[in-house]
Amino acid sequence: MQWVSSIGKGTLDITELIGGLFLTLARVLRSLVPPRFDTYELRRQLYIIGVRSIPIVILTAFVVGIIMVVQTATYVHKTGATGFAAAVGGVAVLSEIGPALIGIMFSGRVGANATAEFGTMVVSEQVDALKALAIDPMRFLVVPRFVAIVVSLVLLTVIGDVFGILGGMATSHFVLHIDWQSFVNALLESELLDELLVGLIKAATFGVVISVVSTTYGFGVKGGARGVGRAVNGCVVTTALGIFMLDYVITYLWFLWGG
Amino acid sequence: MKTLVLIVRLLSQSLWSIGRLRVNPSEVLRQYFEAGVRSILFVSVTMAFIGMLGVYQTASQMAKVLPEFSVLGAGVIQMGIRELAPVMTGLLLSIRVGTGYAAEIGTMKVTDQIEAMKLSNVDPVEWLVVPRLLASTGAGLSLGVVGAVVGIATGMVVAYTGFSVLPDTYLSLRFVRMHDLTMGVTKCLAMGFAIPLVSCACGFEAEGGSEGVGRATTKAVVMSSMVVILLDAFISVFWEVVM
Repeated sequence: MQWVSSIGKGTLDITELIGGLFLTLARVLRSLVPPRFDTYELRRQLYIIGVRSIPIVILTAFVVGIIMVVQTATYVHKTGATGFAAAVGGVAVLSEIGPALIGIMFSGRVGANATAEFGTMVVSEQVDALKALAIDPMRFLVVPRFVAIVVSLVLLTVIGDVFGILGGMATSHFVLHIDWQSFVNALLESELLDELLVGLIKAATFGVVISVVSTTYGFGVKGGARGVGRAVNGCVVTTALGIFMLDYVITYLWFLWGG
Repeated sequence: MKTLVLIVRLLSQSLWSIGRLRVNPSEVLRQYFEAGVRSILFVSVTMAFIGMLGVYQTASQMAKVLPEFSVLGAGVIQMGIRELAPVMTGLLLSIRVGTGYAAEIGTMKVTDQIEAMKLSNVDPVEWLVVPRLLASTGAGLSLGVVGAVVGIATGMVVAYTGFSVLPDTYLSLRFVRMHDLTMGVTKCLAMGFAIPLVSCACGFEAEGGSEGVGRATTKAVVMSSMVVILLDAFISVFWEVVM
């Protein structure tokens, strides 16, 4: 009979998690209208989250650009369609791999960090102290971080796109021996703005996912150091699932409505 | 830099232990169950979405240069085996297993359990790192296979419903060469091997209560995802240029 109860427990856990996520999202949105939150904390978070993630985003995007173009090498050699390398290197980076991988790296650096910090504050009863001082943890801790995460991820994706394309361009020049001019031409011929737009929509959505999931897990921590570790693990797992699911949904809708 | 030194030290100590066959088989199996079997659901669900995405994106690019979709399946399957399945499984493994290891070992470190092991003359590397290393390498390969199969299968559904490519046409292995297969397998093994080293090193470095464990876990997921992406690029370029 044990498996019956484990099915029931699993279902309850999942529904509790999904409910918790939407509840957090609703609370965050409620605090955003009218926008009353700590702007000093927002600036601090924008620096910690946005500016200090730039190196890791540049490195990830550059390497991803290299990988995407190297992977097209066989097709380029077989068909001689040099434009294909640029199309894949540019389009895949802008609309698909760029936002998704930058989102994953960002969730590791920022989402996991937020869970750990919130969790530590819950475990050491700092959140209760805030409440006792009549400071709303939502407005003071969560909402500034939410805004900072969404804004930073969108801007970082733009930076990442540039470096991803540079990586692809360098690889196609040095490995596939396509000259710079024809790579740029092929890139400009594809629908670059459309791809950039869908990529940025994805980035903003992933930002919402990352901050909502990390908040939910962070404030749900129970039981000391072990609990904090488990919460971080749960946070990154759920974020990855959410990112790829929503990635598919957005791509699908984009195709449906005239992509 | 300090972490890098620690990683190299863990690597050499683990290889030394494995070389002397100082391995606890039941612990390896337990860790394999934790890392491999219990990640199946997470990896399958995520790879299902990635497979559908891959087909959508490939088809939309293909529509611009080719008149029809007869090579869609062959292209997606080749790309899946050599690139998408290994790198995505590697990332998912670093997310689930990497953070898990860092959290476990970090908790043991800050609660002085590692010191207690040393006092009882038990080698922490031999007891903690070696089983995780072997288990995760195996899990990397088996989850890579599971991920590739799931991704190709869901891609087939999208190819049929969205682009009317029949499953018979889709399931074509004509682009897949030995070269692609060895590349995919090498990537899976290399990532499965590297992730526990990096995340265990981050766990061993943890200090200072629950805050330290949180920091170690965050560092582990960032470093191991970075290692996965770098290994992927390195192996891709190496296979393409040298072989």
